[in-house]
Amino acid sequence: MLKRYKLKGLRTYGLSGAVLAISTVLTLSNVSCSKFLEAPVDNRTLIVTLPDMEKTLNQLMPYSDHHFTDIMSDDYIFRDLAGHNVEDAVNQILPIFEFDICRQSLPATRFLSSGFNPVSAFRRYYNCIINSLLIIDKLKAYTAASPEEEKRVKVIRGKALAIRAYCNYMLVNLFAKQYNPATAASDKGIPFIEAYSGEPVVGYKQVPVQKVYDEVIKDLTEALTLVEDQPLQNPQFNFSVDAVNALLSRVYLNKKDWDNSIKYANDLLRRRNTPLNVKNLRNTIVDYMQYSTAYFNPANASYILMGNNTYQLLAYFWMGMYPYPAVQMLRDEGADPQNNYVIITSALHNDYVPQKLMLFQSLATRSGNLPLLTVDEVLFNRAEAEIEKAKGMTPQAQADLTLLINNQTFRNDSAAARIAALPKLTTRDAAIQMLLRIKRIRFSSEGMRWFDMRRHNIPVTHQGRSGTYKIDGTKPEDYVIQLPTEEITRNPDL
Amino acid sequence: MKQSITHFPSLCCVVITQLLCSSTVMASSPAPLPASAAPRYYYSEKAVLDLQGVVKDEKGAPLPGASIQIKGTNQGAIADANGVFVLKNVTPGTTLIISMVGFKSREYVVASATRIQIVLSPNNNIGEVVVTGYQTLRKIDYAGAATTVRVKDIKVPSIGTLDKMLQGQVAGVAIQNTSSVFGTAPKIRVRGSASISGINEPLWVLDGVPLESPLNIAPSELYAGNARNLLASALSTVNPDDIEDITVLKDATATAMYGTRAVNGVIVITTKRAQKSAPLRVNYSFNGTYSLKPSIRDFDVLNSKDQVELNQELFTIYDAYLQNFTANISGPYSDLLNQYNRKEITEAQLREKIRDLKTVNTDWFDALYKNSFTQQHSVSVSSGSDKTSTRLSLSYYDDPGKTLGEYAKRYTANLVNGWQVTDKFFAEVMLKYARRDQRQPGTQVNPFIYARDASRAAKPYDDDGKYKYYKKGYADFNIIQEIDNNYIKLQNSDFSGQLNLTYNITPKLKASGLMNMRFANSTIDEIQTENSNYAEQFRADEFRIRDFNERLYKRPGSPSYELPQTVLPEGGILDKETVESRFYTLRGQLEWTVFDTKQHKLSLMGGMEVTQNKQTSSFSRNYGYRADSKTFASSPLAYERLQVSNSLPADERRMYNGRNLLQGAAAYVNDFTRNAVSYYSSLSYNYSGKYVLDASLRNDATNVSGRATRNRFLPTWAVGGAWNFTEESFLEGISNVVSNGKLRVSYGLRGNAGYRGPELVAYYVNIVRPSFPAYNTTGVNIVEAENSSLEFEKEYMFSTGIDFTLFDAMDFTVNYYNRKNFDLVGYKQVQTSSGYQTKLFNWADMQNRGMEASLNIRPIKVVGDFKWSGMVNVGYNKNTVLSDYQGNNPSVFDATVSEGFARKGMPVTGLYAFPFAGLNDQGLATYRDSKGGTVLGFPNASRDLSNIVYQGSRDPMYSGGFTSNFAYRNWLLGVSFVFNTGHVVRKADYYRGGTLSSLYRDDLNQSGDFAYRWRAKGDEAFTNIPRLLLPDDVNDYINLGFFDESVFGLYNRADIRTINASFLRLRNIILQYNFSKFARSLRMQGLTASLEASNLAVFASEKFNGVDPETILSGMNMPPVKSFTFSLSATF
Repeated sequence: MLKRYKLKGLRTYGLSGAVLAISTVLTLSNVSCSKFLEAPVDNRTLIVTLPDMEKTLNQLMPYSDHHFTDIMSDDYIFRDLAGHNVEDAVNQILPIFEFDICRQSLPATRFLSSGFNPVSAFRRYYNCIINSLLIIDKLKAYTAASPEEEKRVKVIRGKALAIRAYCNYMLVNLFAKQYNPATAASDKGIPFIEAYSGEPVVGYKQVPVQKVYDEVIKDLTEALTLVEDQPLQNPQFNFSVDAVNALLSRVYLNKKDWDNSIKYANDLLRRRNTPLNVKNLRNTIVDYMQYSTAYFNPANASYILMGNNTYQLLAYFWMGMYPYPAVQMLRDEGADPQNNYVIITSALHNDYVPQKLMLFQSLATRSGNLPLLTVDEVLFNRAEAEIEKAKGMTPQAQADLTLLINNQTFRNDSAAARIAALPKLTTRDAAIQMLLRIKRIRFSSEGMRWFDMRRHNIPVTHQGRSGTYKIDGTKPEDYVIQLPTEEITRNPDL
Repeated sequence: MKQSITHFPSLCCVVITQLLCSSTVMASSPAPLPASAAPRYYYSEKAVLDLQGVVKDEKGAPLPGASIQIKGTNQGAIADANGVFVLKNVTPGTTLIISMVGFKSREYVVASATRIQIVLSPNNNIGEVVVTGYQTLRKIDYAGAATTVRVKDIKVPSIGTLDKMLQGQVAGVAIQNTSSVFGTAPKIRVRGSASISGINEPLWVLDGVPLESPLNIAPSELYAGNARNLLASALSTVNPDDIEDITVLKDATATAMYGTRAVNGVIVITTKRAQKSAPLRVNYSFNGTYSLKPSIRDFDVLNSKDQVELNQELFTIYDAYLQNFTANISGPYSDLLNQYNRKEITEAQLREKIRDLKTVNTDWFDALYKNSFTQQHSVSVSSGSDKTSTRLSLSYYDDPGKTLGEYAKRYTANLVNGWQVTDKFFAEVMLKYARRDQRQPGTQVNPFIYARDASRAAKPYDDDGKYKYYKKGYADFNIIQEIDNNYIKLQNSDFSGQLNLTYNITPKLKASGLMNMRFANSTIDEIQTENSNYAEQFRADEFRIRDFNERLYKRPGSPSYELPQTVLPEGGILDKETVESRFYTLRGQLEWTVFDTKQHKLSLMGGMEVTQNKQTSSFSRNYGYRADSKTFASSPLAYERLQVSNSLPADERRMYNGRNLLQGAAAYVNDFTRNAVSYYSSLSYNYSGKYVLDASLRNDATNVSGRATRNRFLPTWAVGGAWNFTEESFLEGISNVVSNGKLRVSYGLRGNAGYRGPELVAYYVNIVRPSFPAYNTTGVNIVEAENSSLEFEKEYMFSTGIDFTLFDAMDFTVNYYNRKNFDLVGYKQVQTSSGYQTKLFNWADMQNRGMEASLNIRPIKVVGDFKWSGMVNVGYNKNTVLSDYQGNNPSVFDATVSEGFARKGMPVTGLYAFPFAGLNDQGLATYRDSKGGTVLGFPNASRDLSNIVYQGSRDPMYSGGFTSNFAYRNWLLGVSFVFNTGHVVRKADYYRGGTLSSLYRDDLNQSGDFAYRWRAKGDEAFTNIPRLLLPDDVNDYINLGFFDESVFGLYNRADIRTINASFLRLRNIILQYNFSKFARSLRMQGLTASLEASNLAVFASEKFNGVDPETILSGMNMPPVKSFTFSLSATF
């Protein structure tokens, strides 16, 4: 039939008829084969279903990428042990320790490739931001089929917003000046991504610190209305109402908005006031491996949000970086009766490694999960905001700090002495100092110290390989890590 | 699929029976006599006559053996040595069918003449037509660059697959046979490389349908030498005896019909078919190949004495260090030391045994290789009437293996049946089936690598005849036992069915359709039995080594005092991979001759094609496998270890595109689907037989290119023109000098569709939380960002050439081409705030320019019956990268890899090296840096590429071959050479392994260069080989910031290690005898026997020290060995 028609067409209309006939057939078949041409190439996913979006967010949950900042804090020293240190690793860690990263822009190649460095932190935070924006975009294209799906869409949007906010917040706290209400509107912030784009190169302008904080708070405030109260699965690895509250209390604390910090801390602590009792844990578990496992168990009620996997955490202990000052501080404070730092004897040298980190040593578990947001931190946040607001100790701050002191590995007498001292800390400085000391003990080697030092302009001196490196605490710009060279050279809008 | 296979043999049976029935009658009636003489009288009015005829070819030479059959009967005769036949009592009006292998059958109606001469014209005059896969065109109407070769001219029986045989046969096709293992793919470049990161292999087309390898293999994986490579060659299922000819389409006009898959050239294969109206023919051919084992004397390695003395020296220097690792790996020397340390032998015994070691001198090639006899049998039956034609062929290839633990068997069956249903309608069915069974030693135990690298002081058997064990992975290891217990079994079955339909609507309008389905199923079992060293490594849990053995397992979070334990108490490991491939092609096209007058001929063609390739491979790792009983022991911990661990040894990972597919899983499935819809059309215009204009246009749409319609549809086009200049009247005068002259020129756009597309690429990943498995979850990992402006890779190709024949004896072809490859896809660094380090861009440009020349000399009478013919071809290609391609900001070590590296202004596979500046007076290697200074090394992270120097192209710039054939009566002697030149390779590493711990292992031998190392001050004037490094040297290097790679890797990659890779291979010598008289006496059509010697010699740089220059030394690749073949071909 078709052939006859074509033949007739050819005879009657000549060439143009044939072309017409063929193109009609082609057009028809083109319509029908569009599905054929949309078939998936392999078992990749184009992230169009809600479960796929949720899974993408699982992957986008932040890592503890800020952890390299421990090396910049006053907890660490460098021991130049020829023949013991892995030399090229030392070369790649030293720019962090010697604050090179704060003075000049460095390329990724100057650092360990394991991820323990500012450049990979920068990249990963942005990867999470871009892709959470992608998910938000994909959600817009999605039509919910049922009320249940509508609810799910909301939760996904909330989580994506929270991830974006967390990453923007961490970026601005690493790569820009500490928030100062007086200068925030003009202080240079970070390259800011307004919206998702699939183009290969898109320029991102550096916006002021104020703008980043505004966006973070905007995202988090919206997220708070969307995210689940208590996610059914893996709540510790999801942004829940608790996590957003905890993060808001931190953000407002850094913004020096004491009332809001206290408000969100209260919101969280009303729901769960379950700090980790480290003392109890340490006293009941003798074996360091089991202690470490119990310490980092996501089931601990204190842990509101755990980081996704992290790099081989112990690596830097073998590169000449040792937490001697932290050990010294713990001992001076009477907070290390059980020897919280294990001594590993190598052929050449004794290495000090926190026992709680031993979990990350075994071959099978080179990477693990560190807590990002904890009830403990929120207690510290509330106490700090209270003290700052009252310019001295308050009953609430005193109660919080008492609880926190009792939870630490202090000898009984040291704990008692500190608790007794609390009411006498009438000045803001004395109270803050006490708080920061307890916080330093609580979160030792967990990547919190640097941000406290930044917020309070705490000076630090490092004895490097070829000199002494100092941040004297007078210039907030000293605490700013410079943008990676790759960013400066390739971002068309910088 | 199953059903199709089961139907297939029965179908074959029917056909065979049919053929045999029709042949028995004919074979048993030798004389064409009527049943009785008496009836003559009754039919006296119809006179009968005695016919004497002679059958000749077009040149007048008699055709002995031609068969003459009386149509409609089974009676006939066969021509004698002079082509003469006699038929008695033939009735005038009788039709005779005269046929001969290699010639077109013809019919002759008996009239009154009693003496007749019948001229047969040669079959398939391939000089006259070009097969593009879509069309068969008259060569005179064709403007493209295509080269056709006949299989019989290029066949090397010892090779087994056709792709490898093509080496050196076609100008412009550079082939490197990287491995001689059956089923691996050679590296083929048609007119250079077109892509930096994508596919560079040409497209194979079998009987009009693209032929894919049975599994989807990533370009980077092609020569990796792992188990999947055994399935890399698409041609492994094709019996070379079934192939009629091969056409290599090279330029834009020739390949335009293949659209976005054409950029790397197209090789079209046509299988044999039976002729219509041809008598029954049965052909049997046999090839038996005897392969010799190589010898360690072909390699330059230390003998036992030098080796043991070197080990002694090293153990003195590195005492503590070496004692440490010998628990993991031990060789002959450390084995003795261990016995001594355990007080199993006395010091005197130790000295005595060391003295004995020095005389062991094992030739591991002798121990692991075997002289083998490969055989291939093919039978084909063909027959044709005026309505149908049938050809059935069966073949069996059996390679018992050149090394221990190796064999390959292939069975093929092909059936082609054509029906002339009506005058206008022709239908053809093609059924092809191939099955392959192969066994190879496991990926970790390559006999070639072991034979080349193992210390000659080690031995396979102890004095008492039992296996001699050394340590590997803390467990006992003996290579012969391991080959028995650690192996790959591959089974592949491949079935394809094809239906070709042609309908001549009018004499000028032809509709045709093609439908092809191909199913290929493969199973690759990689087995480590319970007795293998590999399995034993999981059980090596002696207390001293427990903490070091990475195969042991300690549950995360378990108390610190708990010891790592074995996870495989019983059994071994079975890695099972099954690959299912489905290929579908559906095509319909119209060919219309618009007008065909004496002056003008215009033809149009247009069509549509739908294809689908679906490949699914599933892999599972199974622990506790008991190979004998094929049962599994329970090994829950092994699965737990696999799923929990984030740091398994490299050989327990399954990496694909940077993902470890076994993360949190013991099995995975890899799916791949490529759907395409294409429209194509072409125009061909010929003006008075002299001027030709060809044009074509094609549009491809695929699912792999994402949803952005703009980029999905890429029209590829080509225009070409040709001038058949010898048709011009002004050249008529010299037509006896120059004939068939043609000048061609073409230009077109071709594409290369990758498998990426502009969409983002995201895969599911298992998020494993080792210590807290309750929190494991699933994520989607966006591996590559979306690039909404990503397009196909493209190319503009200009090609021109001239063909002509001199004195009807020499065919010349010279071609020139210029390929501008642009929009090449490659990774480029992007700003950090984009969240990615690199993204895939269209940004690189490349250029390929080249010349090809070939000369074919038709048989020339030298003296008397002595004739000579020959062939020479050479192709030259210069590849230049035009963009500043830097990919991932390479370090000097990234840019000096042995496979070559793409840099601006240089070939895409340019080899770079560190400039060696001699040894210093300490005997340490020094290098020149870009500032002209002399340095001891460059740090690992150094990215200053001015410190490295260009060595040359890694791919050959010139490639070709030449053949010379001498014929004397029934004798034929052929000699064929192939060559590749203008490229460089790097010598095998001087410092093996590139780290100190792998360097001085006493289980491995060291390169013979060690014998010439620096030993005393002043030696630096005579040698380039550094002294042994002392522990202090190593500390010095470390203090300078140089580690393993920047000390050892640097010397391995120094410019003095570069070798000119040019080689000339004596591919084969063949001596053939045609038993024509004997065959006739047996009433056969032909009988030839030949002896062939292959791979007799390779002429290459002395620096190779006997290593075959074509073999990239890694994985399972084994170099070709010398072999001798006896072949027999009989046609009845």
